[in-house]
Amino acid sequence: MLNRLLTRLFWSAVTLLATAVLTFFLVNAVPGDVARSIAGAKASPEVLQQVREKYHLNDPVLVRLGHYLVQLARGDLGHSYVTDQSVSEAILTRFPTTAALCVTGLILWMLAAVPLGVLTAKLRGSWFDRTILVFATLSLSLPAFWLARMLQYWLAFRLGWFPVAGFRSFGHLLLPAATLAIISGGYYVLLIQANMMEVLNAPYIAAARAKGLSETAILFRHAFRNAFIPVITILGTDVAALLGGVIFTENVFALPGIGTLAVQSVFNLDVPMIMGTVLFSATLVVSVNLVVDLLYQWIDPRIKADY
Amino acid sequence: MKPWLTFFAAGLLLGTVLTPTSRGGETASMIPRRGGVLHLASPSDIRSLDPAIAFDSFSIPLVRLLFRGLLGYDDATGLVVDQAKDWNISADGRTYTFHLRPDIRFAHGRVVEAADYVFAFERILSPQTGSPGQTYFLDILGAQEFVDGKAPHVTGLRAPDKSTLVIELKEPTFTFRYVLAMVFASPVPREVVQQYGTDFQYHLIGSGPYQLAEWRRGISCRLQRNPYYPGPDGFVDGVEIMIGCDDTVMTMMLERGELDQVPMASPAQATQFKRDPRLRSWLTRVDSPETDYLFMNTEMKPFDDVRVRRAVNYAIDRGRLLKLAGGFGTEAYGVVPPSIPWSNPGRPRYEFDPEKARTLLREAGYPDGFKTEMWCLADAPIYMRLAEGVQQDLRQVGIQAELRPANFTAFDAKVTTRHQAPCGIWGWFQDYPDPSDFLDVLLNGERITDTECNNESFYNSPEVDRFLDAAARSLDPDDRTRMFRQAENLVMQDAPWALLIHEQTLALYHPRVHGTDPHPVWLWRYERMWLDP
Amino acid sequence: MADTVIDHPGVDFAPAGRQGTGPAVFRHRLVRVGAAIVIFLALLALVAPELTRLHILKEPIQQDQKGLDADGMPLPAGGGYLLGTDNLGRDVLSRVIYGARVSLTIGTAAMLLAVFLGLAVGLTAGFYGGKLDLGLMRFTEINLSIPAILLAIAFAGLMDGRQIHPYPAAWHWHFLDFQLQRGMVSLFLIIGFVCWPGMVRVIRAQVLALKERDFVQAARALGASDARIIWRHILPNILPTVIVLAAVNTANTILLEAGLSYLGIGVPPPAPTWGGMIADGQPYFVSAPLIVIAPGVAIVLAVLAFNLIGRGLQETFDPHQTR
Repeated sequence: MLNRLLTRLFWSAVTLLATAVLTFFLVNAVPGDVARSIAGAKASPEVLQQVREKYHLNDPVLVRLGHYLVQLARGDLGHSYVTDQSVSEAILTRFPTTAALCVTGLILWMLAAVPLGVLTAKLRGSWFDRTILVFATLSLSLPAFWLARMLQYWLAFRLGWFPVAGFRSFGHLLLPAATLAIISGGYYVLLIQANMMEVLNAPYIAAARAKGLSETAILFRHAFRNAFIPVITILGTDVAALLGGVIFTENVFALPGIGTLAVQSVFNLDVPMIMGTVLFSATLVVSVNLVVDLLYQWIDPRIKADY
Repeated sequence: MKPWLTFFAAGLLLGTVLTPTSRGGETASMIPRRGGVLHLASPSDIRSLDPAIAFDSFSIPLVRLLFRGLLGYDDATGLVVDQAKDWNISADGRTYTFHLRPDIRFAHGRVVEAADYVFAFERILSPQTGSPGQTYFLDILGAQEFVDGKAPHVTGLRAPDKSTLVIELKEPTFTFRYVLAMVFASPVPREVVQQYGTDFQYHLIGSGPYQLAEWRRGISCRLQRNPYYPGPDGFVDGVEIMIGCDDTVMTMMLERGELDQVPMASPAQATQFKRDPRLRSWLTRVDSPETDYLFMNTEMKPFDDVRVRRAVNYAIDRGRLLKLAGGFGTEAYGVVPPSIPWSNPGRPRYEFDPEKARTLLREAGYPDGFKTEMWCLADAPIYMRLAEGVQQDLRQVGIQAELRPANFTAFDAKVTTRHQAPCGIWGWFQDYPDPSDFLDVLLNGERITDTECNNESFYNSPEVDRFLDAAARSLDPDDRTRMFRQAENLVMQDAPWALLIHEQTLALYHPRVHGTDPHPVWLWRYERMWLDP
Repeated sequence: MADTVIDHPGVDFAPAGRQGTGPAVFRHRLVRVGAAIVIFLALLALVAPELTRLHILKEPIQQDQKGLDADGMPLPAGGGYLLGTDNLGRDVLSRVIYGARVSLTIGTAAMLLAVFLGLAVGLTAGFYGGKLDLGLMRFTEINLSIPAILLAIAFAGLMDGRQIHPYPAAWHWHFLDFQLQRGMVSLFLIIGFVCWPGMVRVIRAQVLALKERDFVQAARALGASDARIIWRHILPNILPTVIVLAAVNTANTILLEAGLSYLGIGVPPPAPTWGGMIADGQPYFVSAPLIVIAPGVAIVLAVLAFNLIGRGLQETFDPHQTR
């Protein structure tokens, strides 16, 4: 087990390093007078020269990559071109918001998706099953920003059931979390339903039934657990997709999270911040995948990972 | 101090005479109440509240909450003393002497001294600070030598005693007095700046009614009272600024009472409020001292031909553009906006006449029009609308202008560099209420540089420059008016710009906020606002 | 990580009413519905310019003074404008239909690019195995760890008209200069480029499974070249998987394109884009909600259609979905 863990850790680190290099090239290979975006529109030529020297902007790309990697090794993600704030500090102050949003969203959609998935599996073929499935597919097809706006306008602004925007209290998270839940939830309803159906038809369930166990016991003790495992797997790989929904939701509800930081930094051409957010998301994705992978191994040691 | 008392006394008097007054905007009839917290929002991160750095219309009213200086404006564009007791200018117009008020203290308790002003001005001039206001202070004697590192201090800045400040200029520049009313000219406590260095931004201490309590970059900013401020303004106990929401969200929050002000509302929002009888009083409008224009690069084909430039002027339907801006503003037929206390009744005018435009284009050798690029700011909806409007007008006379929307940095770099942008849409908001702020800063050929040039059309007319220089040297208001009129007339004839509109600045306020009268220079004065209980 | 055959949960609709007549692919009801929507949208998109020429449909790009009221605000539905007008006086219905041209074109082109790249990598990795497989999959994993939307935003955000000189400054090979401009081409390239990693795992898994099958072994034994095996045996058999992936991927590319346009970094104005219309219409939501609602519905419709096709096809090809 430890061996596996170390191997995975090593490869994750390699992946992150490679991501850093790849992103660096993608973002920095395009020149542009970055000095001006740092120093401000009306800075004098002397100030611009100072800025260029400070950020090594005159050096060739490979040298700058070297500088950057050394910096990374020290744990320093650089400073924003626009506000001179430390990138890691910016990300860390905003991360709790994004995390809170994601966790709340996750809870909401599990609360909805699990019972729905289980019920539709049991009630296969009924009108209930079909209606839920239609809605699930529909929810998959909603653009995040549009849904967020609609919810914000109708439920927060018109009806006043929720605050409109910002993050002054926990209540401010509910509507954004609901947006995330609706968009991602549909997929999971279908997933859980598929798994449950498969499991419910498996021989060992029939055996349990034959032994006289109640339906509820079967449902909760056997079927549920086995159906749930693939969900965790998918959850892991889904982190990257989740971030897409987060970006737009945070934007619409003005939540000060990583999503808004990422978008703002792109518009400001704030290269260190862009790099920082991309690397941070990559780290998140890799870490979650690692955890999920190990969890999966532990739950079902029969599964052999390919690499 | 005095003008304020007069204002309120007059207001009280008026208040007893007038019967039911409308809410939101009529301080005259009510006595300001101290207390409460003002909730504000900013669409993008505040770059800095440091008086040496802040230079955009949104930050400046906020900086004025933290920092004040020698001079200010009355309710219009007249200069009055603020934290100076009195001042005078020598007969030759080169020496300014100020006597400071003894009751002004910084937020950390120390009395403001003349040396603090000297320190602040030298800080702005210093290349290390990277202040966008540096150019305004170069008129001071010895400033250039200080900037170049040849002198340790600016010879023209002197503090003969703790409460006397003497400023000597190289030449009798009339407009320097306005520079002293700008936020740049605020004193900063040298020991605090020296202690924190670049971190001073997070520990701002000034002599304004408030001080910085907390600033979480990109998230929120909180201001609290400066206990040493003598008043009488600064009514609310604190200000909270939320960072990062867009116009639409801000408006929704305002209506729901989660926000007190939507600054620079878009025409769409303003119209929506204007039409709703319940919400109409929430809207305030002020004629902005600004001009939106299409600049044409006189060094690039085909805009090097004055006939082409005039054709463009005739092609544009300003009335329609104004409609696209929701009707909030006026059509622009001159460089200097009408809200500046100056007029030029004889200036040449270009009316909407597409036929004439086509004729001129034919004369210039473009019977089928031509193709060009029009640069514009992507993040400013008003400019994008104007750009699309102008693009369509030009298409009618055969000019195919491809839009190039770009973010501020890219746009700025492109249009202020020589031989880069053939034409583009931009605007200029006054720094101070004088025609030179438009004509001299933007259209003086002598100020052209290869990069970072404010004269985006690279317009170079020695005759115009002569008039502008004469006006800069003169101290006689009538003389200056005459010079500027000549200059503007020549500029209109040469048409390096196609004028579009003068916008109005629109703000929406929740009814619980009072003291929201707009100001022609500052736009709004938060320190004058107070809240219902 | 357990490899999954198809990255999409199965849906087992009740058999009644599911089967129809016609080619096997179209037998499934979901596929019929989805395909019908897509065909409808595509047809509308194709004939839109003709309709405009015949004055049945209004001009989508020309700003119309008549389309705004006295205050410069958009007009509500009615009086020749079936869905009202937008903030510059243009007909909303017409812009939504023209928007389909942008979204469907970019969506399909991006999908084709992603499928092409995904196939190339997945096939190579699965078929050849060994170090090549390892390397390619590592590379894919790296690409996968960067969220597609973030990368797309970063790329699209950088396309602000800057000049690229892809050679050392000293060489002055100016003929290689090009400008990074936002447009349909750069957009579909970006979206396709961020989407391909998602396909690789599935394709590779299929290829791996196929590689061990009898007929492939037989072909090898008979001395068939790699290329022949791939072309004649592998590709046709992974085609169903690829088609399902393609359908679902198109749904994603359309959503991505809408998202980028919403942020303002999609196809530049005055081109009509669904996402752009939503963004422009937000300030007018109270007075003219259709500017935001109509394009949103269009997006949902298009994306739903492709999702339905994908799910239906998956059902058809593999009705006993195993996980």
